[in-house]
Amino acid sequence: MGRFLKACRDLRDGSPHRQALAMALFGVALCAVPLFANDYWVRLLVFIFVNIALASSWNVIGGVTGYPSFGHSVFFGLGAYTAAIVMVRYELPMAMAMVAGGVVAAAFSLLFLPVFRQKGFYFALSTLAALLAVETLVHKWEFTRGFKSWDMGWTVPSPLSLDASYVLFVGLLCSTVISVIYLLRSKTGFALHALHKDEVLASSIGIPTARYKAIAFAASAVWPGVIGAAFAPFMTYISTESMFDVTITLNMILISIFGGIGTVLGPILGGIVLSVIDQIAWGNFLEYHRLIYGLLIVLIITYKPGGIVSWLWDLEQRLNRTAETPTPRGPVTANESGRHATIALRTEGGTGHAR
Amino acid sequence: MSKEVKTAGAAAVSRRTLMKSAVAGAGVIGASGLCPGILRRAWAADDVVHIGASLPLTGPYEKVSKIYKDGYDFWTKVSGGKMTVAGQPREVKWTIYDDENNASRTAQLTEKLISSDRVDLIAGSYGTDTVLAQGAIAGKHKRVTIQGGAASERVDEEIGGHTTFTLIASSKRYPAFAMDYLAKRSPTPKRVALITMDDPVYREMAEGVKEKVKEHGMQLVFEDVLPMKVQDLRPTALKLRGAGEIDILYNTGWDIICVKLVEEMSALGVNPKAFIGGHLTTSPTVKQTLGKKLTDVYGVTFWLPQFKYTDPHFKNPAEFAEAFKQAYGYEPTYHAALSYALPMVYEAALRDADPNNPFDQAALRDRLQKVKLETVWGPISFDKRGRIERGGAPVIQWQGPGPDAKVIFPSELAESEGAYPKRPWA
Amino acid sequence: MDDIVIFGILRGALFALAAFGFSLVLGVVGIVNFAHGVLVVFGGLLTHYLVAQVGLPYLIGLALAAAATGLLAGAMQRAFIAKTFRLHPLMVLVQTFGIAIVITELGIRFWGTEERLLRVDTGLPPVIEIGGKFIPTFDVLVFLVGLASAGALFAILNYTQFGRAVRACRDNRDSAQLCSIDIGRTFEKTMVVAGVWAGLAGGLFISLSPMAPYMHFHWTVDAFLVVILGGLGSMVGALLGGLFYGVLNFAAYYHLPTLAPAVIFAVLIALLLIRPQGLFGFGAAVRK
Repeated sequence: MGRFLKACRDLRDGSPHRQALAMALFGVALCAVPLFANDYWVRLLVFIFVNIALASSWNVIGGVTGYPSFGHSVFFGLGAYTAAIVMVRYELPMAMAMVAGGVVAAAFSLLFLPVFRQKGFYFALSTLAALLAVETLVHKWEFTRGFKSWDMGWTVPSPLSLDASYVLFVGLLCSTVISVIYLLRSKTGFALHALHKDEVLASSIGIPTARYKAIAFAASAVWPGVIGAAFAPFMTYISTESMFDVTITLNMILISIFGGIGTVLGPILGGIVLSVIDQIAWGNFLEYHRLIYGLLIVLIITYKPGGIVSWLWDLEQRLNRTAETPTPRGPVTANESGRHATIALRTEGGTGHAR
Repeated sequence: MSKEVKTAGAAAVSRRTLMKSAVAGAGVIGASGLCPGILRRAWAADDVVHIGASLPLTGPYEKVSKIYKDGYDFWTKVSGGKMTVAGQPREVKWTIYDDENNASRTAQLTEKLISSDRVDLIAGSYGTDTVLAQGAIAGKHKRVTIQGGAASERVDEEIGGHTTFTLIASSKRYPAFAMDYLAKRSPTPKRVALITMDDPVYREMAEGVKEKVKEHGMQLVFEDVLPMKVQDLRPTALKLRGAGEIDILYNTGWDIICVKLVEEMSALGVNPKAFIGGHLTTSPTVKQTLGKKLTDVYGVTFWLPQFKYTDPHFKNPAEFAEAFKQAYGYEPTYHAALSYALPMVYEAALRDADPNNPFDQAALRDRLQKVKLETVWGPISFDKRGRIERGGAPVIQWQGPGPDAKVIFPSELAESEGAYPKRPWA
Repeated sequence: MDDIVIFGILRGALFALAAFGFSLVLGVVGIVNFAHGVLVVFGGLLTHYLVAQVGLPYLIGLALAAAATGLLAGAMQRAFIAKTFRLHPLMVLVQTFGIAIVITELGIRFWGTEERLLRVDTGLPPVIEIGGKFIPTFDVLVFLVGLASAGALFAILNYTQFGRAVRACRDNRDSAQLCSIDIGRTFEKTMVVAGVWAGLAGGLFISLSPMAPYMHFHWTVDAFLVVILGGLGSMVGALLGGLFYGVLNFAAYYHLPTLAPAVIFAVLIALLLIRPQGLFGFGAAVRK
């Protein structure tokens, strides 16, 4: 166990190429699952993959950059509706629908630029307000509402079989995570870390914060757009209530926090663990599963705000008794003033120097 | 140099370890999918009928889904836990999941019921999105479902007849009888106002009202379309006040909308000559909250204990209601009668099934199309698109000291005369 | 048009009542309390229970329910928020969201999900004539209670020691600590006050309109909107914000009901962009 965790830690500290490769291999292995699992598990896994990918995208803007977007499901919904319009009204192939979904989402994200001047929760509320506003508009505008003018919702037949959809979503998940891996290790990624810690300071040393925020937000919006576009034919029947649901965003946030906010592995672990807990609760504690859900949220934040990932790294340190340069205890700390808490992210190598 | 070797070695180790764990991880997930499947297959015994359903057991529709669930449970009790399939009685087993009124969840759960739990029969969920999602999955497996939770025509258009049979009448039909009845009052009503919720089911009801307005030569003087999330009905009441004399006000919304409308109308002094509170005036919340204000309010309902239907197990709905109340401690609403009847429809279709393959879905579909039976829920037969054939919803009016709901139209079911115009709010 | 303003203001007082506590907590403790709506609903349902089931007179039931809600909020603070408020605000926000779910579920176990409405007999005529318009009496009463509470809170904040401690923590937490103000106790008391006012709002609202456990989120969002509109931390701001929101809400649903959510949120976003300190807020805009 200790060896395994140490290997994981080396992977985390190592080059992004290896991380990407690991993810790709994991994806390839996952593709073998439909060969011996029944339809229920295949479909369930697709939902889990979607959740993880969405959480990973949210994490870029919410966890790494520190701007918690509460309306993030707007990009997912826009992607889904774009696919519906492209595939049903214009009868274009699904691949084009997915590209269109990503483009529409990214374009829409740029409209948020003025909102970035806000402090944390004002930003959160603005994005939530935007979600609710867009949902109302999409529901009202005849062009987007449905195929016929009195329709409410779309019927998007899927050209793919269940197994083919599964492979597609594995691919989307891997693409999302791998792009997040590379983004976080790029110049943009370091800029985001810097501006999360102290935006005023970052901008005073010459980092163009506005530009990087825009890039981060667009990057965090593209994948939900593409995934939403792929999801519409998967569900076949879509409506604004199901695709723009605020609980989709809440799930993204929850998974990221539960797994470990600001980390690459966090959303993945969070998604897996929460789904497992969910399945168990549904099957055995039907009446209490929401209560369990709420309790979990409260407990993890009260006692382990760094999420599962931080718990794992602590475990790894204890098992291997590595006495390296002391990294901050837990990834969530307060800086000196105590007023403005920050999420200290693990920089690579444990030596803490930025490149 | 040794450092390079070490790092290379470490890298190799980590890569190998990771590949191993990746494959192991995927394998674990897959294997755990396999095991219950194996167990389940061995378990699908020959003398069991496994019925699967998902309902919004938590969330805003909790109270309604509890009624559905109790209805299923009641049928099980009443039929001694057995259903006759292909001439032989079989033990009935239910699996009901909570879908939280979420379409994705419902899709997942339906897949689970079909592929993992291997149910023989499927009972529908509640709400348009969820029923459609369920239908999508069932359709992919070429299976049938019977549902009583979504009235919208979209169900007929998308999945009706080939996948889904709907026990609840088309929402467009709901207002039919009420409008017909009121058209014959004197002085003849002319000015109609309409409250519509912005959602397919309610828009269809509104369509039904408008068709009747045209048919009877009335005039639609005001329509307010409200978003589903609306909280405050006062702006609507204010607009109604400004709309002049209103002869008929029809509310398509659900019980809470009816309650809020009445509260606001009585507070602001809006007095239509007739107020049709919609299809959920018989919900217990309405009477509890409005009390005397319900006097002279009309409603439409597909079911009341006073109706005169016959049933294999009960003489009439009143007997059914009494027995239900004894068992569960509350008065059943139409949802209970509907869900009680649902398994009976399956039973009627399966009685003469082929003993070698009783649950063959194609054969089941054909027989469901032809099914005809009379139950507490009323006469059941389906049209080409799998929709139950009903002309309209009978009309009730709240009368007397209670007030209590009395059926006033159609005449075969009527127990009282209706009062028109409505007296001022209590 | 003037009908819209009048009715908007009347309902707006309730929004303001609900928002006072939220604003206090946000300004002083520095957290967005997603469980705030739960406090409002709790107060409402408890009032209903005490009056309808236990048989207490309305005012007593209302007072008790408000007090109980305050205690609930205080317990929330002591048990959970106290451990986490130093963290990133997002964490606390999600924690309060979890608390909201837990309390809602427990509430459902006890109360069921049914909507409840309370009939209150004030013995006064049902409508009052003001300036030629007929206005429901109870709404006027609620409005007056709202104003009175704003005044009471204002007085507490400005003229009591507790109020001084609260303002100190709001303005500069470190200096407050240096002045030997006990932050923990002050936060707790702030949460209790917030709970009392939220419970009061709920108890009043349940006599006007049905309430059920699942409605809590919408109250939280409304409180948030009022605070944004009115400006953070000031009671007068919350009151004016509430009144303005009441009018905006009413006008939107009157003229464009199906677009109303979009309109309201568009106004909010516009306001955040143009005047982030709120319509009636003082001081510099709070920036990240």
